[in-house]
Amino acid sequence: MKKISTLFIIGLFVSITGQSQTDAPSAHEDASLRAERIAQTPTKSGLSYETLTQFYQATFTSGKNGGFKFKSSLFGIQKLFSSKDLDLSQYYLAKKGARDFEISLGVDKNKDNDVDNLRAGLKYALVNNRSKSDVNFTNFDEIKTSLQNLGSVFNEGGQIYFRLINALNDAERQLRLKAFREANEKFKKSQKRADLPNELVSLIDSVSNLRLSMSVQDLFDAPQKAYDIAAKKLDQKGLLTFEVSPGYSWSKKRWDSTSLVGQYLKGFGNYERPWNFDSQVKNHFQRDTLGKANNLARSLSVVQIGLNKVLAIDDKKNPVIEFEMALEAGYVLRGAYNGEDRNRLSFNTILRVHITKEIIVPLALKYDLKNPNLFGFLQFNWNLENKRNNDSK
Amino acid sequence: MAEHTKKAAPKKAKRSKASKKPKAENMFLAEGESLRQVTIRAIFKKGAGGVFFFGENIPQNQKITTDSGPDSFTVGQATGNQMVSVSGSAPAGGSISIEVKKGNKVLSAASDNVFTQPTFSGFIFYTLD
Repeated sequence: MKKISTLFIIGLFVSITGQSQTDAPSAHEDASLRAERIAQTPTKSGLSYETLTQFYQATFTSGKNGGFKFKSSLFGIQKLFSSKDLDLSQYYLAKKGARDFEISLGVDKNKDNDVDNLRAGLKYALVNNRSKSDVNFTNFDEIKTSLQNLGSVFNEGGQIYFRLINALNDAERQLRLKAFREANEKFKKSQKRADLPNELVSLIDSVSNLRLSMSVQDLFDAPQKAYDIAAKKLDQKGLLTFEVSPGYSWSKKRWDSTSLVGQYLKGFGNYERPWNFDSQVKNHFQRDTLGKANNLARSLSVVQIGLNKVLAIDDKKNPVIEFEMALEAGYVLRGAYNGEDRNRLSFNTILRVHITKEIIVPLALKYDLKNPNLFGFLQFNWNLENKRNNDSK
Repeated sequence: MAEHTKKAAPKKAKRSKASKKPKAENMFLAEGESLRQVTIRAIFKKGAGGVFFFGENIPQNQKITTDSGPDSFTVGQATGNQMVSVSGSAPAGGSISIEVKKGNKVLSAASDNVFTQPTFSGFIFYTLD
């Protein structure tokens, strides 16, 4: 119990530490605006986040072998310990290797329900075509055109409005300029045209109709719509990871297991509610629990083929509910116990519910097809992002 | 000595040609005497993105991106109240900040022009002396 409390406190500390950095509002972005901004960026599927975290992820797992796990990209760790601003794009983009390298540390319960197994993990994405931050979306023709349309019409309407204000007498000019600047400040953060002066919106509407035969609403909405589609299509691209994770038994004071895991994800189908092909090949090297061998002589190979489907999305196209079905086949390559069936076969399902943009709760069920038996566990995944400094330097 | 005189003559001719150029430039400068050189810079954080610029004397399709090219450009603008329009796409989860300077003097600070949205537009105001 004491161990579980310690584990919970460590988890809470890590989560709160990360969250305080996440939620600390900068001078130019309060929490509500940040939520709005995140809502404007379609979130990746929970499966994507589980396969490779963006910055940090804390996971609590219930059930027989449950525990706690904290994952971070190498870049995320560098950020925690660096006093320099590593977010500048020139540096950030050059460090893709560190962003695609994930380190994890966790503790699991053993058969006796004691928190005993320490597990470390090193994961690297050999292929990661899903990273939105590596893509300049202004290179997509539709986004580029809609942004240029918006910018030029916005400018033309704005310059007319600006000249009209500058033609006023001094006192009124100062007053109107101040109001225009204040409205612009609000608009820069919200990107809601309702925050702009009505006369300006009317002017932009007139210019838009005249130049592009487009309503002001379409003019403002077009870039984000094109972005959402491009971003969702990006989340369907390939992701190939490879992980090594040794396990250490605290009570036995020895390395007890090592796992090698290769995973490949590829999306297809409707980009709004995509399918994801999820294939995993694992090999677990374990110590002989009977104590006959002193090394990791027991070897179990597992192949899992699954399909994940986003079932429901919100109005910003972020996934809300995902469902995955998978067939898992295992074979004891070496070190089988007397009378043990070397073959294993199970049917797995995972229901992932996105509680918020950062919190995902997967419910996993596993049905043993050879020796009919059902067991399951509930997880709590918290995707954290370090936002220590969002201001410019 | 004679050689020296021969060589000096064409040099003189060249100088007289060159003197016409500054005259033309002077004419241009006289026309736009109130134009001031303004440098507009974009600072990107947490990934790739791009921003388009629109405004007085700013060439069509002027942009700054993380792909390649400089992170700033210079434009001549008249004195008084100025306004530049921008539209662009900030890095996913990151930001673009825009700074306007005349020489070393900051006319509009990067911290006042931070855009974090996947797609955005907005105005940047400043006064040019």
